[in-house]
Amino acid sequence: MPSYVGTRRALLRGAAVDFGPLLLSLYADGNQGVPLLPGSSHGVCYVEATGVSAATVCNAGDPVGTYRCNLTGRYLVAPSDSARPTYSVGSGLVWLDFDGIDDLLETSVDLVLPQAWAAAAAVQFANLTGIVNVVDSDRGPASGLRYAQMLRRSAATAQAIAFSTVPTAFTEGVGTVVAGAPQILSANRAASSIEGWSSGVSDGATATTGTPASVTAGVRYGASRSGTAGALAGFLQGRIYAGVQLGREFAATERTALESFLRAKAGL
Amino acid sequence: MTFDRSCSLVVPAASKADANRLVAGLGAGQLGDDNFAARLSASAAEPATHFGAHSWQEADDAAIWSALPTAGGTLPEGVVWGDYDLTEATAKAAAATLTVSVVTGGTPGGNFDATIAGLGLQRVQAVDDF
Repeated sequence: MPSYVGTRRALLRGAAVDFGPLLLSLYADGNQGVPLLPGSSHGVCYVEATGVSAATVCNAGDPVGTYRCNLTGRYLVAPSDSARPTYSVGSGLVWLDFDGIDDLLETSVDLVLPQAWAAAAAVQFANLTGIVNVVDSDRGPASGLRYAQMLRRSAATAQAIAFSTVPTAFTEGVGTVVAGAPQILSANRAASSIEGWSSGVSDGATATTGTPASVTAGVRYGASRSGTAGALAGFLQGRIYAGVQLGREFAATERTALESFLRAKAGL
Repeated sequence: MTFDRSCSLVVPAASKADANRLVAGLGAGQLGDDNFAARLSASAAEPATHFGAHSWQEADDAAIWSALPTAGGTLPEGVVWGDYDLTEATAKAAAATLTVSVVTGGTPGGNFDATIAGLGLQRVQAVDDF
């Protein structure tokens, strides 16, 4: 049994929920994906953008070059030193500040991602300008294949986007976006539909057709890769308190429990 | 460590490769990394004519960054530029092409956008590409 101290959130009537078992179960059985859980026992932020050899644990104000996920053993790495978000602490909360210019963290190696996927994040947008990505699995640096743009903000709403192998894109709204305050966004891409939620409220589901893509792609937080060359684009300006990307659907009970965890991480 | 200096760097596209070698030599990652991921142009449309970077630095490092474009390229002592596929001359030339802005505190977007605006540039906007 892994040893950890789960994040606890006091509930009404003095009860408490330990989210550790939930997070462990999401990534049990070799499920693909990488969560980003700074300030928890489930991962460690390091200053150096060197992946496995990173050694300097972040304190408040430090740049985050590497995130080691204790749940999966995988690493999220900034592709350059200037791309490192900032480890921030305040009011008992921990989050990563992304500068909207060049900051992101992405898997150091591409993952073989199955057809279904899910993502959720506690995020705070600094503004409502341009297209930005919170959790993204659209292409790997090398593969150039389409997979999913998850929890992307475009115009006044957040979106979840999935692709068939054609590739055909299927877009579903996640919900209204606000600036300057944390919010919880989540989405599921099932075998024949895609659905998004904002603060636990569904924005509806869109049916998908064709074969869902199952490709080798990267997982990244704070930006996307666009075009066949995989150029970085859509940089997030704002905070990510916590994010989860998973290579399978969330069960309904998992999603609601995860959203509770994310609300606690964002102080909501 | 106090990473409280907001450092914005801009380089013309033609000098990007050498600028990446230069900043690798200054300790910003490794040779082969792309530290200039922000795509810039006068119209905010492709193609990018310039590339930008932003990072938080400590005061000592920020002073080194600030000095880079001055006096035709000012380099710190002690870097073996050959290890970064540069000569001292090409490293100086790359440094001279940089625009560097260092601000204590503030917001990275504020510093960066003011820097590129001073050069008549905007960030290339991401577009729907599906």
